[in-house]
Amino acid sequence: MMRTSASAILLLILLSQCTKDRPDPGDLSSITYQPHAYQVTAPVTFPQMEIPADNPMTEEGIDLGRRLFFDPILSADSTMACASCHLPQSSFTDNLPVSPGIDGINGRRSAMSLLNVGFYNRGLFWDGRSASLEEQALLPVEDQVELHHSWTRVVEDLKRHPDYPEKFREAFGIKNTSEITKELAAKAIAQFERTLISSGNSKFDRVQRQEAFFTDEELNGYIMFFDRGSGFPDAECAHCHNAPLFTTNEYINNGIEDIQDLTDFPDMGRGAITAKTIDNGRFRVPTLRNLAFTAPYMHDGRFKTLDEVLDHYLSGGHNQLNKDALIYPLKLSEEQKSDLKAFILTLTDPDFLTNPAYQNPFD
Amino acid sequence: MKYLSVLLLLGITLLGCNKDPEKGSLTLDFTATYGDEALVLLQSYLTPEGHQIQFSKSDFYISNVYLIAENGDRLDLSPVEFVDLTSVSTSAADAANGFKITFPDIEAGKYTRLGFGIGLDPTVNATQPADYPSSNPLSLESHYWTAWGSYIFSKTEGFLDTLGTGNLDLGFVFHTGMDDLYRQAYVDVPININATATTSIQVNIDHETILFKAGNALDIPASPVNHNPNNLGLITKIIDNLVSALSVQVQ
Ligand code: HEC
Ligand code: HEC
Repeated sequence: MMRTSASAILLLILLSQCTKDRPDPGDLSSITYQPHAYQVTAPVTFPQMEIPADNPMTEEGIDLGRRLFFDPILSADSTMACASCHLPQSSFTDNLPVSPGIDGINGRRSAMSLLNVGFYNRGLFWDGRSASLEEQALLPVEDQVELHHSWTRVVEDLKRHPDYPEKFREAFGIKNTSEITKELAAKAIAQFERTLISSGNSKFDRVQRQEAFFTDEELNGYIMFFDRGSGFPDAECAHCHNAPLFTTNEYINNGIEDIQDLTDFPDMGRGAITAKTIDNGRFRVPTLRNLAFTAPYMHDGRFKTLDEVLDHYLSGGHNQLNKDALIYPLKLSEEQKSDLKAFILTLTDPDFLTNPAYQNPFD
Repeated sequence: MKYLSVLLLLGITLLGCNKDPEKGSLTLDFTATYGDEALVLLQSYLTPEGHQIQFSKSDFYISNVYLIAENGDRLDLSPVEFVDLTSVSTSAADAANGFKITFPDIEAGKYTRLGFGIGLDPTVNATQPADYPSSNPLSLESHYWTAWGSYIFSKTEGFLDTLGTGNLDLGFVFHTGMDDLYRQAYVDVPININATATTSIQVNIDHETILFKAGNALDIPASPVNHNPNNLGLITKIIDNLVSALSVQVQ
């Protein structure tokens, strides 16, 4: 009995000596913490982005977030990163109908473009189940059909990593490696995602600034898209895909599913979140910016081309009780359909894809 | 010594502040009906013709909400609010509960009038969603119509059985907007604001009146979708009917 406590005391002494002799290897306080505030710049017609007070954007935070976004350290077998399904060259989608995770198992939905995602605050994901980018960024890591890893282990790996502790210090001012958390990692990723904004150089944006002119076809398409009349039929698109973001972020059934009853949707979408039958089959309206790079289309990637999408809208879709009243057989001729497509393609923004600030930092 | 007395005086004034008039709050509770029945989305009601009708969306902006106090002073409560009846009309229980907007920090006392604008006044309507942070009701991209250069003041959407066969064969979509359609509404009722309990005013919107007000009914099959300024006659009808559709009850 006496013996045990004596050795315990000895151990304590030894331990305290250890700390005195050798500096704590986790100590980061000698690294300068001098974050540089980052100012969001967006095309003038865009709304103001709302940034959470507890996660102000800094150059250091964005840099860390970009690393984490592209780093397979977030997946169980180090093969996949966020960027595996959200590729810069595809406007941050993956061009697959649905996205397989590390185990090759397909998810049930199509990866979403992250273009202008910082402006969306009526819920994230196709069904709006996540409230903020900070909250969202925590989910893919532990999702079984995505990165299928555990945050406890990711955080351990980050703590042991030769570079990350320093980056977390520079971004968030932590004093010790032990202060690295999944919440800080998510904050950094969210900061990076808020920088993913249209370049403002799409033809549509340049026409808005009176730096370019629409062709006749594009102008006709513009008139129909925004229901401006002048002898052209209404295409109704802008009701849900309104400028400048080309989405209203509402939850809508646009009639793509060939079923009758509200309980028969293969994917309940919004209804699974609100538990209201009337929300079944409703999905968040996606942006039409940069569509040229984001095929296939819809939450399940069912349409391979823009023509297939337009044919759907011209047909008026399938009827269910909650199909939106603006989805009805449109009176567009073949030529007008191609004019509408010409207009939609003026939303193409290649500069967004090649922005050096969005590329893989490890390349 | 001099300083001390100044401090004392300050202390007394500060204490005096605590005796400020008491504050209370007011809740406007917007409920939707079709005639006398609670409005539930995608539930069938009967038109005056006896055909089935269902609603899928109903919302509108109110602005410049104010109270008039007994002494005639005007108290501004809010520049703009978005009344989203769609969000509360998904079940009979939610519909009965209504869409509530609460205004806190109102000086306790007696008021004689509640007023608000329906739609947006021309100054506000000259702005755009991009002018507002995304938490502001005026940031709703879904409620701005570029072709009009106007906010959409109200949306009323649904489905109609045009032939009387029980088949809802026609969708209708009525969106109103533009400066000329801004309307002021007020009601003279005694409103007591007190510090102990929230005062509640129920504002009901009868959707049968919006579409089928006697003498001012819409011909839905003749023009089921509007968002065209050329159709000013139609949207004027809707907004005027919307004003008539309001009824108020103080609790
Ligand atoms: C296996 C592929 C895959 C991986 C890996 C992945 N995502 Fe996604 N992402 C998706 C899919 C699929 C959706 C849509 C899911 C849904 O709606 O249920 C999505 C949606 C999102 C959204 C919502 C966008 C919006 O507009 O609502 C964000 C933000 C996002 N992902 C960020 C990330 C981040 C950050 C990571 C890494 C931590 C990541 N994703 C990893 C496939 C992936
Ligand atoms: C009533 C609202 C509404 C109208 C009107 C509407 N859309 Fe959509 N749109 C949606 C919704 C909701 C989705 C997503 C549906 C899903 O994935 O299940 C969508 C998806 C799309 C997509 C797929 C985008 C992607 O990234 O997958 C395209 C393209 C599109 N719409 C184009 C159009 C065009 C062109 C028009 C006009 C002819 C139009 N929409 C009219 C609501 C609407």
